[in-house]
Amino acid sequence: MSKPIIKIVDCASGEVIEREMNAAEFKQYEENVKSVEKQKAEAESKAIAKAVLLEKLGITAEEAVLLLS
Amino acid sequence: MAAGLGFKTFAVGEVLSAANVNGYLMQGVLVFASAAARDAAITAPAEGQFAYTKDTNGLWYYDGATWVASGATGDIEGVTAGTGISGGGTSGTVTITNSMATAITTAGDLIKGTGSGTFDRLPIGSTGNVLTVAGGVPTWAAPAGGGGYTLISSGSLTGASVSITSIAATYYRLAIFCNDFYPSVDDSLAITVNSTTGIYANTVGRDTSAVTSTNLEFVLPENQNNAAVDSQAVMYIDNYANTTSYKNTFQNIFTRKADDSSFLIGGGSGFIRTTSAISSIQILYNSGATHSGGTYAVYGVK
Repeated sequence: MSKPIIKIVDCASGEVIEREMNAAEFKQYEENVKSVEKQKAEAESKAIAKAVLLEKLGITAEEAVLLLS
Repeated sequence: MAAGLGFKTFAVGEVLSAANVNGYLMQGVLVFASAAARDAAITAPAEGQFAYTKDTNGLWYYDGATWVASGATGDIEGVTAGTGISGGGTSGTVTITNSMATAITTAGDLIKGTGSGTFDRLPIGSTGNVLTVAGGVPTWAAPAGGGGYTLISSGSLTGASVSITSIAATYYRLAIFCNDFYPSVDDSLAITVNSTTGIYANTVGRDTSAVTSTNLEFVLPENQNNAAVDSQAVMYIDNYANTTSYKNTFQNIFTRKADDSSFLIGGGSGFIRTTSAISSIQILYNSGATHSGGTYAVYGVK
């Protein structure tokens, strides 16, 4: 399976290289994708938990801000 | 024309013979108002005949075929090269040469003074250079600061990431513009710097006690559609070359679906949690999509 292509532009020399990611870059790329997915999942969980809490309290997010201010 | 008989002083009462007229009187210089008057008066000139034209102070002799200007028409005895000129002479065809012109070797060269009456060549400057004075000498130089944008790099967005490297640390701010970009699958445009992840915060009001966002995302309410059009994004990174402080950023993004069923607008500020100077920028998609199109331009701002 081919790895994703990356483009590297060297401003000093003007050289442009387009090549497949090497093994280390591909590993980092996959880790980044997982990391982003995890962060998004955590953010969504927090948002859901927040919504559930507000619903239990019977107040809106704006009302919660007012209560805490 | 008869041959000349030389010079003779005639005595009072002496009778001129035809030979006297032809041998003495006709050997002189005939004076005319102009060359036209000369030609009208002498329709059949004889070889060796002289004429003087008053309008040009010209002295002419007939060589058997045409009237030839005599070399004795002026009073110039020689040409001497002065400052900035070479060549000269006292006889024949004299050539003088502009030394400033011969000092120029390349199109665009200039001549600059080096002292009283002296000069040398100032080679053409590089593209975009301006003429300035340094140490009392004119010289080409890059334009001074003053808010201008200098294009560092531009090109197409392709592959999983586009990395702009070897960015000079000579500006105050980096401005990154992306246009007409869209991902292979729905995703959000993002950047990293120095190929480093996990050091970003990019939403106003977010708890930044743990700055660990993988990429510096152009935050949108939802991922950009993979068939979006008119996508435009700009990000500024201030103080990017600083080696002691974190870097402030702010960004804006707009994109829409081609059928106008969705418009996404995003913006925010953030920072990059690194004290390293930023020498490279990677333009990518946050969740790993690849570039399906678009262009970028990175400017340095002073």
